[in-house]
Amino acid sequence: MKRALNIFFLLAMGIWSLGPFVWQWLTSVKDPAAVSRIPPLLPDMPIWTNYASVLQNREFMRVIGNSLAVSLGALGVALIVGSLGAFGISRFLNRRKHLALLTLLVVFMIPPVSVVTPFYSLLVRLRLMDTLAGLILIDSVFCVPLVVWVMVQVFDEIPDSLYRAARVDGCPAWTIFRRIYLPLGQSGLISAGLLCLMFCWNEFLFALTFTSTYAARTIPVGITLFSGQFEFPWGEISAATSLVTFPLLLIVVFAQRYLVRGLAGSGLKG
Amino acid sequence: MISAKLKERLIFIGPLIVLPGLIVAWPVLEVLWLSFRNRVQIFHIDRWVGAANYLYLFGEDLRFASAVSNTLYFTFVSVGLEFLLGLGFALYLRFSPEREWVKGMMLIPWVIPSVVSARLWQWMLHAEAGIVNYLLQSVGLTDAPIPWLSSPDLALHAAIFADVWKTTPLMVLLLYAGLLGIPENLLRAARVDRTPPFRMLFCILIPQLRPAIATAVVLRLLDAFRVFDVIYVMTGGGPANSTETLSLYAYRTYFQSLQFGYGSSVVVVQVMILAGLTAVAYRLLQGKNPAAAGDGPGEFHPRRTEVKE
Repeated sequence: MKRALNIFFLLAMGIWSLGPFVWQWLTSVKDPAAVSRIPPLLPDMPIWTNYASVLQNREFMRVIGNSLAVSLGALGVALIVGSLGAFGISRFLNRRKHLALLTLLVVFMIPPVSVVTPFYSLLVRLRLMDTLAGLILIDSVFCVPLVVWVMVQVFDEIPDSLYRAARVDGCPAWTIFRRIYLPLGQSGLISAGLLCLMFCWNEFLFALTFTSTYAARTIPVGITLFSGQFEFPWGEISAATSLVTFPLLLIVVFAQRYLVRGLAGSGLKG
Repeated sequence: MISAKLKERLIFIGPLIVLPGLIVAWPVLEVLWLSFRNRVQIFHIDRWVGAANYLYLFGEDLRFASAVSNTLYFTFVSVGLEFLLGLGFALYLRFSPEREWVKGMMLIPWVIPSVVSARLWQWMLHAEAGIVNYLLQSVGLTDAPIPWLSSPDLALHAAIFADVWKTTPLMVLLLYAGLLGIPENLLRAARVDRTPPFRMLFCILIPQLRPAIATAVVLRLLDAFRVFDVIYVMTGGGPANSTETLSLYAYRTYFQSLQFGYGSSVVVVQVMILAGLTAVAYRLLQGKNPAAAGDGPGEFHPRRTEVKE
C-alpha cells in the first residue's frame, strides 16, 4: 500500500516536471504541416526537418554563442569581484557585516525594470549598447551579490585561528586569500558559479532592452523573437527550445548537489 | 596617504564599491530624480513637473490601478499555490527513502529560462492545438475548447499556472533545507509518543520550519511581484490589458510611449509597494515567537544549514 502510494507520487511528480518537455519534444519531431493538428498525439515517424532548419538558422546559432559569451564573461567578473569582496566582508567588516550583506541582497532583489532606463543611458554613454560587454557588465551587477552571499558563508566557516596564525607569520592578506581561502572555498565557488550561470542564461529584460541586432541577443530574446511570416512556427520553436533546454537538463541531473547546497546551505537566506 | 592597512582592505572591498555599488546607486538616484520630471526624448520635452506624475498616477491613472491589482493577485495566488505544493514536495522528499535523482527531476522546471517555460505553456494551452484542451475534451470535462490565453478572465490564471510550475522547485529546495535543519531527536521523540501525523505537521514541523518558511515566502514574494518574462512572452499583457503587471506597465511606458519621467514614477511606486509588502510579510511570518530563535531569525545572517548528501 505504502509502496503503491510512493510509486503514484513519483509518477505524478515525473509527469508534472517532465511532461511539458516530452510534449515539446514530440511537437518538434512532428511534420511541420501537421503540427497544429491534434490528434494524433504521437507522430508516426519522427521528422527532423525542424531541427535542420533551426540548425541552419545563422541567427539562432549566433544567439547561442552570445549566451555562452555573456554567461561566461559575467561569471568570470562575478567570481573575481565576488570572492574578493566576500573575503573582505568576512574578515574585515565585523560590525558592519550584516549591513553590507543586506545592501547586496537589496541590489539583487531590485526589480530589473526599475533600473532599466538608467542602465540604458549608462550603456549609451559607455558606447556599450548592443554589445556583449554591455550585457556582461549589467549581468555581473546581479551576479556579484549572489557570489558574495554564498562565499561569505563559506569563508565564515574557516576558523579564524588559521587566518591569525598566517598573519602572525607575516603573510599578507592577499596571499592568505589565494593560498588558503580560495582552495578551501572551491565547492562554494562551484555552487555560486552555477547560480550565476543560471541567472545569466535566463536573464531576459536587460538582454531584450539593451540589444537591437543579433550582435548581442541571447537565447531568451532569440526564442521570443522567433516568429514566422504568417503564424507561429511552433515546430521550429519547439525544436529550438528542445535544443537549448537539453544541456540544462543534463546539468541539473549531474550538478544538482551543488545547486542545492549553494541555495539552501546559505545563499539566499535572509 | 592611504595607510597600508586601509590599502590592504581596499583590494578586497574596493571592487564591490564600484561594481554593484556605484553602478546601482547612480541609477537609483537618477530614477528618483526623473520621477519628478516630464521627459519625452523624441519630442525634446524635459522639464521639472514636481509631484504631477505621482498625482496623476494615484488620481487618474486607471491602467496603473489595474496593473497594481493584477500584480498583487498574481503575487498572492502564485506564491500561495507554490507554498502549498512546495511544502508537500518538501515533506515527501524529507520522509521518503531519499533518492538523488528524484531531487534532480524535481528541480528541472526551475533551471530552464522563464521565457522557455512561458513558450512551453503557451503552446500547451493553445486553444485549438494545445494538449491541455485536447486532454480535457477527451476526458469529457469540457465540450468546447477553452480559450486559456485569449479570455480576459483566464489569461492571468494561465500565467500564474506557468509561474507556479516553474518556481515551485525553489520553494521545495528552501523548505527541504529547513526540514533537514530540524533536530532528529525532536522527530524521534514525537515518533516514540506516537504523535498522529496531522499533529506532527502542525505542532512540530511547521513551527520549527517557521524561519525557513519566512525566507522562502519572502524571497518568492519579491520575485513574483516583479514578474515580467512570463507575462511578456505568454500574453504580452493582453487580452485588453487583463494581464498587465506593474513591471510590464512600466516597461511599456518607457519603451512604447517613451515617457521616461512618468515611467520612473511608476517604478518608484512599485519599489515602495514591494518594500512595504516585504516588511509586512516578514513580520507576519517570522512572528514574535522567539522560541525558534537560537541564531536569531531576525538577523540577516547566513545561517548554516546542514544539507545531507
